[in-house]
Amino acid sequence: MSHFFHMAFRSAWNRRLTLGLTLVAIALSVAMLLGVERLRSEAHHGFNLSISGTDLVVGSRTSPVQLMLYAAFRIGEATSNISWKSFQDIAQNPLIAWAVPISLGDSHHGFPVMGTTPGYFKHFQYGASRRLSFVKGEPFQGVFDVVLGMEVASQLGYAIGDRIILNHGMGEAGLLAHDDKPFIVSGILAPTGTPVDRTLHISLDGITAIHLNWVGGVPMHGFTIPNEHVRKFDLTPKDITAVLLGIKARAAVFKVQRQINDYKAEPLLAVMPGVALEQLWQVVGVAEKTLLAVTSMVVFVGLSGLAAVLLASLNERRREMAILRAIGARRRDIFLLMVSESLLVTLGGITLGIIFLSVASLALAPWVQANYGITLQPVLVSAAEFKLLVGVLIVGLLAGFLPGYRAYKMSLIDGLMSRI
Amino acid sequence: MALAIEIQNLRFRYPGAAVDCLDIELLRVEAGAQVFLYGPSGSGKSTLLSLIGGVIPVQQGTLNLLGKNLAHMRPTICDKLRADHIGFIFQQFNLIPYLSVMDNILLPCRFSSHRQQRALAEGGTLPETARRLLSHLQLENTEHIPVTQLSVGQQQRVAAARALIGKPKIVIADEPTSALDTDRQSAFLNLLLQECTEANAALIFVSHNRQLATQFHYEIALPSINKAMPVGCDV
Repeated sequence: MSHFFHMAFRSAWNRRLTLGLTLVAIALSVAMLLGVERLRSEAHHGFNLSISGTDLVVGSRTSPVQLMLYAAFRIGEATSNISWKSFQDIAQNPLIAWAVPISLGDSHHGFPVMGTTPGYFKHFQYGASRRLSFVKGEPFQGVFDVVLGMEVASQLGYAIGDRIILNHGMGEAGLLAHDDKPFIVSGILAPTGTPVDRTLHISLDGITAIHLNWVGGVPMHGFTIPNEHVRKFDLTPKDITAVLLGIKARAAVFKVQRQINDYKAEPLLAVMPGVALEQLWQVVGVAEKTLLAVTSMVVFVGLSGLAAVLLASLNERRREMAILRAIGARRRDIFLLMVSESLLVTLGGITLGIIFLSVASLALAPWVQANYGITLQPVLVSAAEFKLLVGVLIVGLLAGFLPGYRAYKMSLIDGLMSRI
Repeated sequence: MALAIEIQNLRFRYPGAAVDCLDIELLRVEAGAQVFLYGPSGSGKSTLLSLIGGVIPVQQGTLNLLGKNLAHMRPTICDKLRADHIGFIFQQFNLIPYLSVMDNILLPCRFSSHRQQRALAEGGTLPETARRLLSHLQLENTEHIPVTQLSVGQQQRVAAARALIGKPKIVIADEPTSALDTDRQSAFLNLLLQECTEANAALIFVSHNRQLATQFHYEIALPSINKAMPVGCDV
């Protein structure tokens, strides 16, 4: 069998330009297929690890998926807030172990700013029950202290003690600045691989303070309050964006959820992160399947190209086939020769595709992490991807069947073809 | 004397053709004989050679190859018989362009373990046997040259080496000299006859050039033994 692969290889090498182009096409399609699969699985993985130990996420009434997206992943914005009174009522529920309010809406160079309480650093967990830890500094204490996620600090080059101006609203440009009230970096968190890395954490008092002189989304003209005077005001927030809850006994989660959802004073929604994520995957699942189908189609197109190239080469190779037959090749051997060539090119395409993808993953990983919060793991091929590759290989094998069968038929008609 | 090839009442008609291409009552080639088969184009020459090689199936009559009747034989058995016992040389383009001279010569040993064993039985490794043939055919130091860079005469001699390796019982040469000029024709023919004698192989040398016939044991004229209409082979 080995001399077959040797011959198939020499034969393929002899037509390296056409087959090479086909191989590159297959490689690109394979890289695309694996890339889609990798992004999909990494997104699932990343989102599922982003939050743990939080039993309920509470916000104003919206869809559970949307609440999870803005409260846990900082994707999108809340349509409405919940009142401080509601938070206090929830926090006093005896079934609750801890309640951490969060307040979103401001940003700094595209990174979200989150107002919260020091309890956040104590209770928030991610991954396999891992807690936040500081590489430098400590939690915020003053009104104008800020704790940076690792990525914010490293990308913007901030160190403890640096002064930071926050912007009103989310986005990159055209935002009004809270330039009258600079913040001072008090701590930097260790990297987590979650949206925490991209977040600036300040106290709820800080959020209130920078908006003291704001009305209707803009600062009041000619009216500023110096930093040293803000403590004279009541900095208790009027409203917050969401609440993260820990329940004392897990069995009580449904009870607390029902109590919050039935809260009379304000329409609230409490969701379990796992359940909301499951809903998210159901929504996204359709798109994922479509994308996977489209990329599979692209691979199919690439392999059809291979079959076409091999078929087109058959006519110029009739002589070669006749010689091989005369030397003693069985018709089955002629068939196998074509299939081996197809298999070789497919294998080459898969290998090159994996290389393409690995290089692209390495190159794009920081960008994907920054823009989509998805961490691309530097793995060669995962188990799920391996299954896809086996599928590609089988289709590549089948792509060789058509020219193989044609060559098989032709060798019967041609005989020794000594007239040519 | 044992027969290399024996044909009795062999008829062959191409699918869809109105008349037969071949209708041969009797044709015999003894083992080790060197036969000139005169076959102008249209005489059914290629069809006959394809039948002898077992590349196309026998439809009617008897075709014994080394005492084995190819009629009703399974195609893979025919293929094995051909691989084991027949060496082919064609008019031109004999070589697989993407294989080296060495790989081309050793191809029969890849398809037939019988040929491989016989080649090894000559002593030494397969490449050594191939090199010995190359040197007999005055092709020293060509084994690493791409076959496409060889002259036509050199290519034909490489084809001869390939046909002869592993000492097959039958060598069929179909117009092997027609692409060569006159001087090289006789030089090639002499080498081929000499090597076939040494290998004790029956040689069936097909040509339309009857001037070459004098060097053979005897001549068979295909048009006179094929009673079918010449148009039957036009496919």
